[in-house]
Amino acid sequence: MAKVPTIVGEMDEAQLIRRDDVVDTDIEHTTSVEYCLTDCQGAAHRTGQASGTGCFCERHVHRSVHVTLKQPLELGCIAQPLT
Amino acid sequence: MANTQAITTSFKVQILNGIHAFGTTVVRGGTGADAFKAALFLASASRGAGDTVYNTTGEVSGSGYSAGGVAFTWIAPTSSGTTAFSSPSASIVYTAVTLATAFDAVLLYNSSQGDKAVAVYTFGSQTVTGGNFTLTIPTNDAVTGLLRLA
Repeated sequence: MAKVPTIVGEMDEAQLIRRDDVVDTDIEHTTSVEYCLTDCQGAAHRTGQASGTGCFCERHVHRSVHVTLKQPLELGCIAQPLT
Repeated sequence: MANTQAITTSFKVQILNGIHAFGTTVVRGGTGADAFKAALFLASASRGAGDTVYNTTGEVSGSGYSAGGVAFTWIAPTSSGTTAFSSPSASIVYTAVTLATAFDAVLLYNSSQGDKAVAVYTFGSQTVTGGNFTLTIPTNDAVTGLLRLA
C-alpha cells in the first residue's frame, strides 16, 4: 500500500480520501493531489463544495502541486535604424 | 546579397553569458556560471519588473521552506534562428513543504551577484500541505525557453 506523507505523519493511502485536480490555461498546466482523512470534517466534505482557498478542503492533510509554466519571458532586442 | 541591420544573434547569447559590459561591471570570481536561486512569493506580494534584488518582503514561509528558496542552474545559453534562450536545467522542486498562505509567483535571482533579480514568473494561486511544490520547465528552445532574447 502506498504511503503518503501528511501533516499528521506518514499514512497508508487507503486511510485517506484522494482528490486530483488539473488546471490548464494559456499560462500554466497545473496538477494537484490532495488527501483528507476518511472521516474529514472539512466543509468540502460536508457540503461537497470546494473551500475556495486554492484547495478542495480546508481540512486536508496533504497537498502537492506540480506547475508547468507555459508563458516564458521574452526580451525584444531592437537595432534602431540610423537617422 | 545585401546588408541587413540587426543585433547579432551571437551577441544575444553572449549577453546571457556575461561577455559584454557597456557600463561599469563587476569583478568576476572566475569564468564559471553564477549561482542562481528561486524564491516563492505570496499572492499578496508585489513582485515584478521593478524588482532589482531578492528580499524577503512578501516571501512565503512555512515548514520545510528556507528563506531565499532553492538553488538551480541554467542550461548553457544557445540560439536558434535569431533568438537566444536558456532555461533552468531541471524542474525546481520545494520538497516536503507546508505553505499555508496562497502564493503565485517565483523570483529567479543571481545569488552570486548580490542576489540581483532576473525574472518573475506567475501562476495560479496555490497552497501546499506536507508535500512538494514542483515547477516544471518547458522545453528549452526558441519558442518555449523560459528566458529568451528575440
